[in-house]
Amino acid sequence: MTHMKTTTPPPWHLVGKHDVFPEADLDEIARFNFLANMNRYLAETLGPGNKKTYETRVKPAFEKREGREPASRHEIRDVMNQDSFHRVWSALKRNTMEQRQQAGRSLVLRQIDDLVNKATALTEENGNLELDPSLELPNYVAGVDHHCMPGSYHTELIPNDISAGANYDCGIFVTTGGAMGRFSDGGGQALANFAKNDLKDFHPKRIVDVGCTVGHSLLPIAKAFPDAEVIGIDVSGAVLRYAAARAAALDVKNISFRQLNAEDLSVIPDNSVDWVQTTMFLHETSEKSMRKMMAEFHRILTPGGLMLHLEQPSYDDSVPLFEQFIRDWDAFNNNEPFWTRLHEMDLVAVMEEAGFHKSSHVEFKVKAVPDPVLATGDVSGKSEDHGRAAAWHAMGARKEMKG
Amino acid sequence: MTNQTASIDPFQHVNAKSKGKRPKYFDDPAMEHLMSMNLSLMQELAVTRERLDSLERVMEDTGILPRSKIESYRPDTIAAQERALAHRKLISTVLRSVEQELDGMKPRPEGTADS
Repeated sequence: MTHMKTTTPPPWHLVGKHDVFPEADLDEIARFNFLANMNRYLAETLGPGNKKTYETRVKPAFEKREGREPASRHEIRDVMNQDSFHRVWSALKRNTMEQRQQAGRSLVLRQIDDLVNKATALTEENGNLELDPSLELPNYVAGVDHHCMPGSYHTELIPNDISAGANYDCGIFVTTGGAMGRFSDGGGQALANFAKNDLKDFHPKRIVDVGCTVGHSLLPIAKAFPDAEVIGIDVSGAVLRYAAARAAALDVKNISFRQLNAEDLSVIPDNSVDWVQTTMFLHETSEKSMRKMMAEFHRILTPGGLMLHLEQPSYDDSVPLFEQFIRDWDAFNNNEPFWTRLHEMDLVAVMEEAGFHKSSHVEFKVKAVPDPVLATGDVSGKSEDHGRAAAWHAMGARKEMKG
Repeated sequence: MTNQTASIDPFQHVNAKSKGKRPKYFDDPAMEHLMSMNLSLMQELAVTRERLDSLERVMEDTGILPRSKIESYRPDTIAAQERALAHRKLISTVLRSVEQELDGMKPRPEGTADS
């Protein structure tokens, strides 16, 4: 087996901590270190084996039987799911994710009372949280636990629970191998740089981040625009409580968090927001709800206002079928039911339908800003972990200026 | 190391399954368990090794014991025998189900042929 130069993810103890970050003991740190290295191994060492097994035996057997090449990513998936190598790789990858959840939950839940008390005190002191316990969970959240998180983002085991947020915060560094930086904010930093440096005459006074979870991507944006009013929106109280406490602990003052479903943002007036942002969020919704959200985003934006969505690139004709199949893995193995449909949709048409002129469409690549302390360098290069690398595709539009 | 909390028992929640159908990777459901158990054991072995590594490095850093002293350690006869027994015990513990199958095999009555 040929190996590229072995690289290792940064050790977990370098993760960015704050006053509501769970404390880890020696073995808990080691568990995360193992899992980060396991992820790296599955991506870099075994990952290329999927293509190899496809080219050397799966595709030839299909062609022999059918007299043609596989015609879609779904046909490739059907035959690859019968292949012994791909089965083992998939099982290892799924188990690694399940173990990461187990490790995070066991670490967080043993200290949950302390964490809840700290978070409650910080949030009350800062008054940066507005919850709506009567908010009904959308079906796409209630029906499936995204990326194998037991209880997803919203389940509350005790009153004022923040365990979902704390588990997400301490584990994302493991899943991404630290590629988004100590505070998992390299994507948000890149967006802030884009808005500051690439957009002329863009001075947002009000910024809304939808599906903000614990605020990883929103905090660097709030810091980049200290005079702006910044609002994080999510349907889950469990992540918002943690987000508000985390923002307070990290001393970001121009930010608040509200429990809302973005399909109905009627509490936000028309033409009142300069920038509405989602980051790796659309794929966790549904087609119907996404269309409703787009219309709401158009309504709340000021003329000239910016809407941006960070996702993985769509499966257009330039993406080879095998790559579509492997990028689709999370849809079927990591509880991401909308992933596969979203990536074949024409989002420009969806945005147009919501009122955004096609001519105002913006699209560009985003890479996480590297963390100088972790010295991971360019983390978005060739060892991309099929949709988990810290590199994204930004799609969006500017709302038309009223004449 | 574990500050158990009062309001919930973490053990009851840590292993919760995520909502949604879990894919089947193997034809035999038992294989799914074997794979999961193996990977968890690899994880816990890695955790133990990291702790041992911490122990040795801290001892060296604090001047208690150089790592070379551990590396060159050879047990005397009694210690070696104790360790061999520990290995034997571990092997037996892990191979319990195979031993049990062997125990269950009844000797064939005289004169019966192989089937």
